[in-house]
Amino acid sequence: MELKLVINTARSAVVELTESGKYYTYKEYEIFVNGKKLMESDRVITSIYDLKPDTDYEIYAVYDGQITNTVSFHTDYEFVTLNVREFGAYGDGEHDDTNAIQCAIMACPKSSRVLVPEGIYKVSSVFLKSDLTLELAEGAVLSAYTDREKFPILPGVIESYDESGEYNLGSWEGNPLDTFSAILCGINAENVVITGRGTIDGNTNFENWWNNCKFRNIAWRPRLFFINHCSNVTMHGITVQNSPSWTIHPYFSQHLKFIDVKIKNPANSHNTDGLDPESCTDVLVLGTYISVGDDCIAIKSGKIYMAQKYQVPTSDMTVRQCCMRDGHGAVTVGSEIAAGVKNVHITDCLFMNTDRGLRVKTRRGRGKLSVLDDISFENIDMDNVMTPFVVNSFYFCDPDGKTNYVGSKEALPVDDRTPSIKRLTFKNITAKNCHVAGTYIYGLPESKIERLTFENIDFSYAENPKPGVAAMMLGCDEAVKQGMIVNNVKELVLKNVNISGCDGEPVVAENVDKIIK
Amino acid sequence: MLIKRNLEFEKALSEKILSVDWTKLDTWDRAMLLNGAAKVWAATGSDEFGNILVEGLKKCGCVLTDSDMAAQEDRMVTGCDSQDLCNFMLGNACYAAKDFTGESVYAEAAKKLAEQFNTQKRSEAGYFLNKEQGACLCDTYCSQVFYMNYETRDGGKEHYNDIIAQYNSIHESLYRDAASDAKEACELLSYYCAALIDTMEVMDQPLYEIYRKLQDYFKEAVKAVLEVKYSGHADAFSGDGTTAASYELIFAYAVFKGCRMKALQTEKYEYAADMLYNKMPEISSVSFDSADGATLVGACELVYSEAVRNREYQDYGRGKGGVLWS
Repeated sequence: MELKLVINTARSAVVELTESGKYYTYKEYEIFVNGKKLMESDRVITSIYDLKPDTDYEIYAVYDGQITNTVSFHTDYEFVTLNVREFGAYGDGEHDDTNAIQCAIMACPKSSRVLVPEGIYKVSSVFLKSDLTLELAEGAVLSAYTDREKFPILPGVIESYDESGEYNLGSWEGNPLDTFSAILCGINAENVVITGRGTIDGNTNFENWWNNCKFRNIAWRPRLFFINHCSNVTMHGITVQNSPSWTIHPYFSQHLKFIDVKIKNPANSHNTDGLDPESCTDVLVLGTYISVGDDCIAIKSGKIYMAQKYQVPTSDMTVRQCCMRDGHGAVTVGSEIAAGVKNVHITDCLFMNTDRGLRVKTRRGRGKLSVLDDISFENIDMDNVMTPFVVNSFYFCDPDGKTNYVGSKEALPVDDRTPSIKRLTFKNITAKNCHVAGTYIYGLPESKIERLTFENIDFSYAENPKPGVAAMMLGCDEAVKQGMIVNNVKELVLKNVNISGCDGEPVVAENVDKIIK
Repeated sequence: MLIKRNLEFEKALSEKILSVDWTKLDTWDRAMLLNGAAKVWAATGSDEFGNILVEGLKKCGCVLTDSDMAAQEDRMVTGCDSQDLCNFMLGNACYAAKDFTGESVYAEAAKKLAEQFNTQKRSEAGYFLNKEQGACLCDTYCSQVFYMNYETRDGGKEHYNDIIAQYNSIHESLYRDAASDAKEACELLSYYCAALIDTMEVMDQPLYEIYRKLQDYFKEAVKAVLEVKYSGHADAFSGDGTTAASYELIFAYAVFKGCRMKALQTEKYEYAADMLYNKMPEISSVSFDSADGATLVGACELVYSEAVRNREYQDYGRGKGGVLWS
């Protein structure tokens, strides 16, 4: 067990108590700052606030009577604090504070912070700029309007004057389409920190953004947080909730950190994915809690047009020490993955009450750039997950989703439209109270999954399992307590895989070229 | 440039259409007038044009009673050949009448017309052939817009891929042939431009790769027409002092609409539509007895409907539904 410093700013720090559990620690422990007890924590990842700038700190923890190592660090220099109240914000939940907060942001010099103190600030869309720290203090709420007339629009495509290029701003489900700007929005910004114990509340319900939400109304629904072509962005500590659509949507951005963020949307809300990095590189999601109405984390890289034009996969992503619950999928890859996804590793996480643990959604037509490779899950505890692992290469999305081309289980010619899946690895995973199946893995017959590894896996089933459909594909019927269903795989590694209490054969492997035990 | 409504012109237009004897028109002419009326209604909100549309459809036999339908199961449109691509143009008018009246009988009529897609003969390359078993670039204006309209509204979009496949084939063969001698083919290219932009308008834009392909074809075709105009073939367009031909107004309609839908840059292309719009003939001087009379009046309706729509960047009336579907 070791106490580690994860990050620090001028006013806060994040520490990690290693080997103490998954998201939650096995026991509550105490944190001491400069020799004084500051707080108790039951999280592996813990944020410490109210530090002073440009100051030395020493932190240690006392866990189960044992004192850990001491972490020493120096907080960042801070030039000035721009309190949005001084810029005219009311924070009374009535006045529109968008302009006052925007003014403070635009006026903020380097190495400084914009402080939103306790209060309820009505906003429409606030834009970030480079070299900014935006702190939402405890009790501060950016409370969004839901009147679409108040929101700016990010055009999908603006053609260059010479007609040779284009500028893409808005994005909707993998395509460059006109979209309302997010409640908190960044375009071409770098070196940004959004921190604090405050909240961004989308205030969405079935009377406003979620009403008739499958249709464009003026423009497509806003995200709660959207960054486009941004770099070095950290979101830390805050709570984001009741999002109009995908909650956090980093787009063509890199070097991103989401640490100790709380993402909360009602379980019955529409398309309210938690965190959807799309064509992003170097993404860390750490100590984050996600409970939403769709997928908790959905990794994407655009549909055909964007993939072919820009060819930017999502890559080098780590999800660690997170808790995901009540979504359709805990971590989903797809379905807009036409530029591919690679080098994604999920470790030390809790998945609870989701329909699926890993959910890969792809289909013929995503294209040859849609290569999924080196995706791993390690040290995961799942409870009450309907089907822990689903890989669906016949996902029946889009207008042609139920055509023979997408749904045929016969091998079709490999061409420019054929996606591929290479290496998927699952290690040290306990999934208890499963309902539908342990795994439901279906590669394409003409482009089999190259290597699928299961090592140290325990599946057990609920006493009263609920039947369900493991994958949204033609031919996948409602089932219950199935074991491992695996189809169209070149190499299947099964080492120390224990399946207790399934109905029928524990492993049903068809069209698998080689099984290694 | 925003062109304001011209109520005098609308009055002359409606009076002209009300004077027509629908029984003397062929399907193409009927469809041109009806779709034109539908577009003017959609652009201006004028009930007068909505009523022209509805009454015209009835007089053309497009909307039948249940007993009529039972008697004419395979031929919804009175007197029309069952392989006539122009029948599909009436389908768009039916859908517009549904939007105007809210009555489902018009949508049912459109769906009945759409059944012809299942029997329409095709070329080896896969696109629809006309009733002469031939193919012309202008056929796209007859068939593909309604095909997309039907698929978006009632077809579940399952044949979007067929539509783009047909356009791909058409573009590689019929369009390339026409564009190789654009001076001669200006008329065909103009209708092709209108077909493409109308198809884009009625499709579900999130099928973006299809939408974008149509947009690319549209721009290419518009440029081909403009190339004719400004590369020594000025006579391809009507000269100074003359009025615009119907296909020129169709081209202007396509360009205006392309600007509104951001498929074309307004500041670079709108001038061409403006120039042709200003050559629109006096409606009162057009005779339905002339071979091109009904087409010309229909083209006037179309270009007018787009001319009065807002194409400015900063005020596109988002309260009315935004850029594309306002």
